Amino acid sequence: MSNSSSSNNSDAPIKDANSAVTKSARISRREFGLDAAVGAAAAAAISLSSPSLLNARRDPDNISPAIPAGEQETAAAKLALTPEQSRDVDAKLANIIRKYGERLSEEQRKHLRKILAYNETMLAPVRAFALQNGDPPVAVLKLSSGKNSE
Amino acid sequence: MLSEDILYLSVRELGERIRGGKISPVELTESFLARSETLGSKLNAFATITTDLALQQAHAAEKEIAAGHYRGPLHGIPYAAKDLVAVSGYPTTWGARPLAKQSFDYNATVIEKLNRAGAVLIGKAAMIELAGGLGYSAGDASLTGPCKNPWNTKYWTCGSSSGSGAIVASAMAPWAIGSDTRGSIICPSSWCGISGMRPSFGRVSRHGAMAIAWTMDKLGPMARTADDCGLVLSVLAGHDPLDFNSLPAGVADFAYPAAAGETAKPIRIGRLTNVWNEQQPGLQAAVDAALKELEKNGATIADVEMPDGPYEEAAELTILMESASAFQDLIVSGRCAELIDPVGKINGYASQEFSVGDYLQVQRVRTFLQTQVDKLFERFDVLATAGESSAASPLSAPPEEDSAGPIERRAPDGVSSLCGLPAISVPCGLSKDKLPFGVQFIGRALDDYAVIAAARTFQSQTDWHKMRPPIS
Repeated sequence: MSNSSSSNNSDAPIKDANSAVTKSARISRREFGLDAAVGAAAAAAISLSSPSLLNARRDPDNISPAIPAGEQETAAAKLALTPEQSRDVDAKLANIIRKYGERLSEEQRKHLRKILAYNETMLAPVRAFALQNGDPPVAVLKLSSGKNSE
Repeated sequence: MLSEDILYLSVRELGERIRGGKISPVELTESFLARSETLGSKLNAFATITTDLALQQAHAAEKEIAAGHYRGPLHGIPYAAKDLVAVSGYPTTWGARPLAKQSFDYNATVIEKLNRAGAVLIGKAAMIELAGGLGYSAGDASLTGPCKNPWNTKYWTCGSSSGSGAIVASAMAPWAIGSDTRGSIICPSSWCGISGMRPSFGRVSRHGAMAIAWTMDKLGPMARTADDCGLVLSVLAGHDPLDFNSLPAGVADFAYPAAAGETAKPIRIGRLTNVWNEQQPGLQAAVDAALKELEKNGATIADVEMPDGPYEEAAELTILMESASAFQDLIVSGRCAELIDPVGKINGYASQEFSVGDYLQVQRVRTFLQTQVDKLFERFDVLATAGESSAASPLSAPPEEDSAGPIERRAPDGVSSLCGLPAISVPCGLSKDKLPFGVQFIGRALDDYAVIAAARTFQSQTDWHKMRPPIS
């Protein structure tokens, strides 16, 4: 039931009144192409709402036709993880291989590393979002004060 | 066989003719079935055509109506259901190769409701495998192959309600059930040039429908007009104790006027200015022209922005995390390897690695978002933007062109889906390649009527919804 596009497609400064998070980096469409390609993998339920993503979201290991090798490196650098994030990715990949390694080809393991790296980049701003002790999770969605104008 | 002019009539028009004895439900069903048999395979639009059931239901409807027992506006009207909705005795494949033989011995709640309304099921609509629940990267990620757009068969319908979009656009049925976790009704409706509605979260029962993300999944109508969406929603809506997230009785119901009419008060429209990465040339002009039509009709228009925050990430992460649980059997058993898309084969393994703490953090961020978004509706009845950032894309898209433009905007689907907001997309123009553009109206949670009213008013002033694709 999902369509939609991927993340990291924005980069208007992200500022929340209640948040210390500010994400100001703008990324070019080309860079986004790589991010999206990598993210496609990650972006599960995500379908392709945006046609501009259609190519980008094909096999992340097959992005070279759209992005020259040198620029892949530049774009990949955008996804550069902190040492702590890299350790998380390594640990998660090791756990996947421990559980499912016999099912996975080398190519799939590489692909999984990219997915995990992308997931870390999505988690970072969410983890940094300023919350107070009593702020509850939605968990099960509750509709707020919407009126019923039927 | 009935003419194409009849088959392109709206649900309301067909219902009036059936009630008046001018159209036979049996003849109507036979005509849609015949068209589905020929066009359906050309477009890869159906997973299953339920000919026997359709004819049985059509004959029953005809007999009842002739005897003076008219059940309502869907009585004797054919429809299709996305193949993630259980229909007893028929395959329900979820569009996925490892589940090609799956069937259920019960009907989904929406099917039960439609049976009681006397509607006629002509088939199960093709869809993206698992509705994209474990990820996908192209339109061919479907058990039935890539669904082709009736406006140009070299183009895609969008997903994941791909078959539902193609079926309605090419008049193989006057309406279809779609599902939407994050845009899967809105995008195919936009690309196929039809009117498709995502109801408020919890208004329509998902019992018997495949789950991706329990806190975001919705079922809704895809039809020829906004008015038809209202008619169908009034039948589908209602509390269901079998769906844990169903709204309470009295709140879930959706009463819709028996006759189409204009809204009594001017519609306050917020024109979203900070969504979409970039838009296809001509699309924003088409959306603005649509808003001008509404302004001429008394609406007020003002620019507005969606709230900022890591909300696209929150939407994406919620779906990833919940789908890893929803499809745990496929992941743990390794049967995800039988999926078509290379992403779908492995993505679940990565999603299983999210922590409980991360899930809760995402849902706490979501609480803020809901509060912020709801405030927008103190000033506006609906928010308006394009249904999608472009017209349909080719099935075999060429390598992406380089673009120096920065990516600084985002789609509205993540935010509105996280908040359970109703939305509708209706056609508002054509691209230079003669592919449909859509305009989308997003409403406050539970104010489903507002989005229908805005779209219906627009359609009362224009004819874009009467366009037909060049296919027969």
